[in-house]
Amino acid sequence: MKETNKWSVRDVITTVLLSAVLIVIQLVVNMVCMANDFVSMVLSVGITMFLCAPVYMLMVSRIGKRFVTLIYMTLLGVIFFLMGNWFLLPYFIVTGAICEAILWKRGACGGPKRMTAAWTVASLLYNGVNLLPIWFFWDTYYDFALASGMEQSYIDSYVRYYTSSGWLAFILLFTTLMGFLGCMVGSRLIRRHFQKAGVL
Amino acid sequence: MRADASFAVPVKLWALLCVFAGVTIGGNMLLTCILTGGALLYLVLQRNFRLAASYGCFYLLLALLLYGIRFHGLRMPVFSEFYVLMFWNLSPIFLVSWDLITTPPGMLSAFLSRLRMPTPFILGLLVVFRFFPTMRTELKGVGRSMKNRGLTAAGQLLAHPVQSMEYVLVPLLLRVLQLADQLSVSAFARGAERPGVRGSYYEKRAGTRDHIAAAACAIVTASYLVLERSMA
Amino acid sequence: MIELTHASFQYENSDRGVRDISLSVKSGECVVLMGLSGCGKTTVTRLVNGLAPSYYPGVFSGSVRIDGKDISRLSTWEIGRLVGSVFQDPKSQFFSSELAGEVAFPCENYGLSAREIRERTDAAIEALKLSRLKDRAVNVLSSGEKQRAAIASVYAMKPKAFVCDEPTANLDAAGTRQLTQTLRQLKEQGFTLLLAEHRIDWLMGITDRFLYLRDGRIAAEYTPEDLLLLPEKDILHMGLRSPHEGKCLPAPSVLDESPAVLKTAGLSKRISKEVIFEDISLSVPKGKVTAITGQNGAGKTTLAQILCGLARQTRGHILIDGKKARAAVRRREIYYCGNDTSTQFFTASVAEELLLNTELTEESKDRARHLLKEFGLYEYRDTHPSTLSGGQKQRLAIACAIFSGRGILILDEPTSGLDGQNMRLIAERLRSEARNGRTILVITHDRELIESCCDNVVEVEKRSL
Repeated sequence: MKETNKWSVRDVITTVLLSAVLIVIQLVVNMVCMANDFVSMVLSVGITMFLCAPVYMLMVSRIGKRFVTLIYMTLLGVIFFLMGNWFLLPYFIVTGAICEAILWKRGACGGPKRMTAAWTVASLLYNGVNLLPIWFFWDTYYDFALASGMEQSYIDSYVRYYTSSGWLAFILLFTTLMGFLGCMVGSRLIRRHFQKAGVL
Repeated sequence: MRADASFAVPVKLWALLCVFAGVTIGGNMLLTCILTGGALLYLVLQRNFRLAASYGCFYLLLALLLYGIRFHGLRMPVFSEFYVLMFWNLSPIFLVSWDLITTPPGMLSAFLSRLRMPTPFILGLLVVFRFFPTMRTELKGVGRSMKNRGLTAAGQLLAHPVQSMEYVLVPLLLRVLQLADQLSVSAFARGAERPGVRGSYYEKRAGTRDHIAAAACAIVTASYLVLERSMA
Repeated sequence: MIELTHASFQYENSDRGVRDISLSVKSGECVVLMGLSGCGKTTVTRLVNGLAPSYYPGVFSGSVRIDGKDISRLSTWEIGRLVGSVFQDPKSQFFSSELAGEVAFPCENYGLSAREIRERTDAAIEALKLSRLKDRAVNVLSSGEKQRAAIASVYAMKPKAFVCDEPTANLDAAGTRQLTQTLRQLKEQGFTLLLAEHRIDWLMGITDRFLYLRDGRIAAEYTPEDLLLLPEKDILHMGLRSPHEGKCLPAPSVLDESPAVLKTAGLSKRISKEVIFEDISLSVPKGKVTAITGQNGAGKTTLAQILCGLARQTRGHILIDGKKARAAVRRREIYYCGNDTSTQFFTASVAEELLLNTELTEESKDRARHLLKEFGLYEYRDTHPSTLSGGQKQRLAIACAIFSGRGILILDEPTSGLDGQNMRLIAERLRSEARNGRTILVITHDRELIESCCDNVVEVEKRSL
């Protein structure tokens, strides 16, 4: 392939397929974790971002052009949009733009350090996928819960992870750390496998 | 779903817009069943009986749970009440969205080429639909090879989780890249880099049936909103 | 029609390529490029369909003319209308999940009018006898039907010539037979055909000329008659597959008296009501190489996976040494070497791959070294398995099977992508493993492999043996 900044058919197909892999991992982890409040609200984002980091790094370094992250985040946003969480579409576009800004300086191909930085920030921001729907639907839920005769303490305990600053700090820290660790694993895999396999 | 029973793509987009408007503007949780009912009917009219039946069952289950929570003090240890409510509320959107993305890809690409979308964009869309079954097959293949090589023993998985992740991800990702390459070569050799407007095999103009469907979507949404306002 | 003059091409960052190829294919002629893996046959096809150098970067000199036009002056999509390309693996070329949509794909790309697209697509489907499958999803087609669909899609563009790169590499016996008919039909309709192939026997009635490539150059040219008269020793020396069309597969032989190590009783498999096979009673003698043949491609692979404990049977059971063996037990005793190598390798180098999950001792390292040398993979010991060529990957997969230390090996079409030289190497090694007491089961429709190493032949049909 000629090295140009124009997107070729191959770039489009690779981006779309790897984004699909990422989105499948994210949705599957999200669905499985729904069974348990603690796992779903505290751990799921961290797990997702850890698993996705190597795929993301492979995608960005394979294509080596600008806007890969933005496209991926937009696709992710569209999927959430189609699942009824429309506010996540603009949210993820902004997230994608922030990641692009981090990757921008080195031109087309961000080095591993920049990719790690971008994904770590993305991990922090991906918490929106849990937080925003709750904030968004909270009023309806609250009314319904009161009408169903739930006690105030029961309702409060449900959102305790997102209202107590201690828990919130832990969640944000945990997801960011997991995203970062994922990138460490990702860089190792890239060096050990993908560079050697000549696909980068 | 058969292509000839499917509504035209603009109708599907309009239907999506309608349910979005309904769910976002309206505030009555329980009454959204009007919208969901409309959405199920919308599937039946397009002969998507399988999805209509299976989601219908799921919806009934949600209704039962919701009834239990609301009137009998049911509290759920797994899958919290919040999710039941959210799924219930977003059901009409799920259904209409799912119908939109499972439109026969040929129809979607015909619609996009009418909008003068660039060819790479359309190829990207086409490729996704073919990809999910392929990915499942490949994932199964990786799992089988791991079993064959004795890499799936419980001890192995627990003692080296990161290594196990490597064993799954590396062959899978290399395969995805290989697939992407083969697909691009195949597209390249068949004129995909040609600039200009793309033609389409599935040319379908919106007919009377489509116009009626679009009107029905608007009517269902409007009646839901009116009913909901009058009760508030 | 196709005219290459002193064409040379070298891939970027590699010493591979072709040198000084001069070749002229007349309109309506069928020419086959043959030779060892890596001899440059694929590269020649890429020069003709314009993929090299416009998709695969590299240094090109000389000229390629198609129908009198110098293709270096044409854009890639213009070449695509002159020369239709058919590749190895049809299943990874498809963009549409419906047959009609797939056949229409190139016409859509060329922006033809809807009416013309319909006419051409329907005509192509008709011409390739796919009408029966028109509304079928492409992923349920057999491998031969998939390849026909791929050809139909190229046919719809009405090119002047077809270029096929190892079109049978992923086909089963029935698929290959269908392809022979399709190509004969294309030839009768006056299309020019250029093929790169290992297996040449199925092309005997169609081909006008065979070109033998060695180290990126055309080394010899044969008419089919010349090739058939070539002494066997020359064929061996050139590393070619036998050009003689098999009369038919060797008849199923009577099983000898050696004690059976692997037995099945009433084994059946259904996948959602569809019978894959039913009531199979098989008995595999110890220390022999047994071939499993049969028309039903998917059935044999499923059978092998069940035997190895990698898939579940619907009914019946499997005995090892006379004892009923559960799937987990079978997985310890039997090694399965699949035909599709794309998801078989896990590590970062050929040597690591072989030693994966074994204890590292001087003895095992030594054994690995010997095996790699024998299979011609020693010089690649530090390279990543995914960078190997198809034939090398297949050899590595077989090496892993042999190295595994399990008593029973099941190999699924182990020679489908191998040239003659490597096919014979594998056959020899399987024989010697059997002599050392291992039991080997080979699923194959490769007549040459069966003749050169198998002691017994078993034919599997849908309904019992």
